[in-house]
Amino acid sequence: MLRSPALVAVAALLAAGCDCSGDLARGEYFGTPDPDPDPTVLRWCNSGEPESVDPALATSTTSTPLARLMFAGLAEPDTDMDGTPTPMVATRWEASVDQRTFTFYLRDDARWSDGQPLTAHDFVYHVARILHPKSISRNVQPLEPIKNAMAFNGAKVKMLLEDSPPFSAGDIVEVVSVARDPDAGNRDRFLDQALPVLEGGGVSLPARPIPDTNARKSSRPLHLRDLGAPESEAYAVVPPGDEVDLVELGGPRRDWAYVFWFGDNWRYGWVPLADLDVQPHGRIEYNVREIPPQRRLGTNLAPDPDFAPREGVVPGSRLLMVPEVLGIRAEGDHKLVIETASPTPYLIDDSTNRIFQATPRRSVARDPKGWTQPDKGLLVTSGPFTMTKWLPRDRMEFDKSPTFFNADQIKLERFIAYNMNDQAASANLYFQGGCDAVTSNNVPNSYLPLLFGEGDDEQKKDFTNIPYLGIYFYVINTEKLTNVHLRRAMSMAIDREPISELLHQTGFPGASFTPGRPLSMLTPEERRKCGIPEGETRGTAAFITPEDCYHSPPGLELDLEGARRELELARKEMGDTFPRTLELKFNTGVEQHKVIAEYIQDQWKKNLGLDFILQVQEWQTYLADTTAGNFQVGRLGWIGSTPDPESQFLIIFRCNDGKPSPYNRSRWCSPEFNRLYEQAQQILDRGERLAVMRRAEEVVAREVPLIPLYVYTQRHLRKPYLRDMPMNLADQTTLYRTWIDPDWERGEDGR
Amino acid sequence: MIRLIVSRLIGAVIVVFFVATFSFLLLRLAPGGPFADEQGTLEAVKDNIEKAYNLDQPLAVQYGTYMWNLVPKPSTGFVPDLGHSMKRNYTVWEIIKTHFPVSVQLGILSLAFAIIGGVFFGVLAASRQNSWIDHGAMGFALFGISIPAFVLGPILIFIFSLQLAWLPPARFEGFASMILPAMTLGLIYMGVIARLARSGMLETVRQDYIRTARAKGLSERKVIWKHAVRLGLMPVLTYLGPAAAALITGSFVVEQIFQIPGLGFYFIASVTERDYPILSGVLVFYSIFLVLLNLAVDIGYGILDPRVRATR
Repeated sequence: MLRSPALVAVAALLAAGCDCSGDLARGEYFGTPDPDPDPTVLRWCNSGEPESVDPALATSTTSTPLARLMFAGLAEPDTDMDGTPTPMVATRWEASVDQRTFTFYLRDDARWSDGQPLTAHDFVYHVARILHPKSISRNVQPLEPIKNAMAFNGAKVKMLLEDSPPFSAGDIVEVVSVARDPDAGNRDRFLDQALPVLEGGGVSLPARPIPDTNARKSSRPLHLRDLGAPESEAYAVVPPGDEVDLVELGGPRRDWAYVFWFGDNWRYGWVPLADLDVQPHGRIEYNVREIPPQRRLGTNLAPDPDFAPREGVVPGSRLLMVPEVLGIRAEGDHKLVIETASPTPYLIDDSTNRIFQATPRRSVARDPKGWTQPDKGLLVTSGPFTMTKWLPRDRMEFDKSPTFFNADQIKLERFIAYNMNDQAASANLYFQGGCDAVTSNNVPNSYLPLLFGEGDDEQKKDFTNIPYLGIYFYVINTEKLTNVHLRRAMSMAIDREPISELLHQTGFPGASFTPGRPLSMLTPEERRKCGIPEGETRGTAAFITPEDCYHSPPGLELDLEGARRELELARKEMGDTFPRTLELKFNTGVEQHKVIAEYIQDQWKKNLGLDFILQVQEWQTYLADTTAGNFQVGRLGWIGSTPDPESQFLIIFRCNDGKPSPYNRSRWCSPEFNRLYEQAQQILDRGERLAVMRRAEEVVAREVPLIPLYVYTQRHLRKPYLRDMPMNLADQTTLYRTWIDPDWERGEDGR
Repeated sequence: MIRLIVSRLIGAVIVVFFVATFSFLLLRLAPGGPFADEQGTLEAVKDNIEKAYNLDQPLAVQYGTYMWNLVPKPSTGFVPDLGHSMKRNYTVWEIIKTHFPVSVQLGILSLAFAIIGGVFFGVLAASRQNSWIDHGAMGFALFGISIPAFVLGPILIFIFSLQLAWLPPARFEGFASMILPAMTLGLIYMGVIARLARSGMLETVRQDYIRTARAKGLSERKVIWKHAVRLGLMPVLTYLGPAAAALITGSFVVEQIFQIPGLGFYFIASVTERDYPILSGVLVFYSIFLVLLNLAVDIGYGILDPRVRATR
């Protein structure tokens, strides 16, 4: 997010207490709401230009609500604060007793906007598309539990096309390495000669990748088209000799191939399998091995010690990666079955996620990058709205979709999103009545005192500030600050309460890692359900399902005596190696980072006598440094899409063979934590599982790989005439039931 | 003239070569990359992305591919292939085609504002030299030159949008929404033009032919606005080339304040996002644009003033 220059100057005007701000501050609303709003159009100040509205590629909060408008998911978030899944395309679902097989039953009246039925096959295609390496989707992580998903993403899992002892046709194996490459002599002669010289000279070359058996070529032009279509209906032609990637097999006799071609800005398409007459790596022989039934490739789940995988050497011509190797399949048109490698009760939580908002293959194939742009004529949708106009950096217009299965529930005719990346401009436009709502967290901080009515006024009625499923923390590089007593002292020396004021109340201070609602916001009934003891104020709570609540364990809160005691221990243990000065890094671009850093620096100086040097870096440099471990203490945030602690938050600390995950910048690996995390992964009952997760989080709290500071809030500006526009913790709401009340001034519900 | 054009075009190729080379290398040498993010990326996902965008190739190979694509070839209709954005679903050309016209529109509007206002104040000041009108106009010009857009813009928004509700505070839709951005962007140039116009006019009114005009008994208004202005504004004309270039390529701050979908945003965002093809592409495009604009100005001088033609 770019720092807004406008914000600074208007803030200066406001801060100067200039009388002219009187008009802004007056009134119960921020700007006078239109007394007679147009009930057909909702104008929404969005937070910038979406990077994509394709559910397979969209990653940011700017784009996912728009993807949700256009593409119906298996489930949608409930209207309550926790946003648990309620039926959408799936009318019901069930989990097997072992929590490893999940069946979704789909409604039979769901359709695409081109009239085609929306079926279970579309969801299988969509998931396989996200996971396919050529799609370069960044939404892979939530699909990790699905059987063979990660190996598929790494192009390492193959199906055997013919019997090759000890395996038989149809077996699924993992490719380990190249056993024999008859053409290697020719192909790599240069590299083989160069390698020893270069490596001797201190130049390291990347390991040569394993040649992919899915590569194909054709000696004649390949006409990419829809399945079964004649050559004349091709929408792209691959020149002879160009390499394509075989993605899947189809057709009644499985004699058609769906291929990916890098040329012409990327294309997919069907061709008769017989047209792919050259297989570049077919003669290579590969070492392959059986995949243990319980293990997810690429994770640390220990394989069964009694299981000895079969191994063999197989020629590349018999190995093919097809979506059938994945643990997701359609049984008929209306039943979707998902298999996971280990018990995964939280898979149901993810049914509201974009990973289960199917995309139309025929459109994606023709233009994988640009098919969502309406002017290309390829956009086919399944959700309540469909896009009619996308003017980059300006606005996007959506019309109600008559083919949506719940079309009678849509009250708006049109939805317009303004792509505003400047917070002050958004708020100004809203103030003047140019838009009806500002997307969360796009309210400038300089306007907050006014919106909260600091001073004498009341909080503006059209402004809401509620907790958000994100946590702001200081991450500690545990390879540099190895002493746990020092880390504990640092956490215990911080008085977090004043942070709220520093942030203009846009944070809920606390020392717990997994975010949720502050306990003060729970009803007595919810407290009881959560089993929170009387008088407990620390930690946060979130309902993972309507029955199961997670109360995060309290972290190391302010305790000056304890902090000094820990510091003494640290000094004793570290002796001469105790650092004289320490370093705290944060990034530019957001004013609060500096405010917080200066406050924390002062706390550590005052309460521990430790000298921290603040170091400010440009965002990309900062990311590169913290990723490379080139820091002592840094600031970071982490945001979850569902409140589940296991899959969304504690997963950061899961280590693989003693190696931290890429999400874990603290580089902290704890055998105790790992043991508990893996223990939980085998538990079927959600409540018991959460209880073990809580014990795992207690380890985090005790060892302090990071210092949680506050739970984020979401700030909403919404005109009082908007109705049925729910908010939830993860800020993932469905907007299609939203309506505009033209008689709002007379309405009893003044919000 | 033909020699001038040919030598300028050869120069342009050299300029573009260096711009492309330096923008390619500088951004790649900076830490980070287009796909770094706060949460971190799985190794396999990162590998797939790098493969797809050729980022797994040695830098020399990437550079060679990039430069070769820039060479106009018949297969691309003699248009340099600037590549595809790594962060957005557009090619660099699509981005330029969509957003550059908006920048041009804003630039021309600001330029018109700057010329009209600048000439008016400049001539007015010159015709009443050392009077309070002169001091007032020049004071205003100095104010215009000194106040940066990121201060002026919000003040104008505050007064005309939030308080008076006369003009929209943001977005670029309809003429009313263009007034504030054009003023914000054009004020500096208006100040410069006013000062240039004033000094040009002061020099001109001392010329003999003006004295003749006065001696003929022409009214002062006619002397100034009909006779003196023509020559007095030559310095302004000279300044228009660079001013137009600066207005069209330098509107980032104003685009940000008023949320105008111009090209300036991509120029800045591509640096923070490390979107290599966009940064290099926009820089190459700007450099071609500036070289052509300068060439046009030179040709214009040649036509207007034979002395320029002779010395080249």
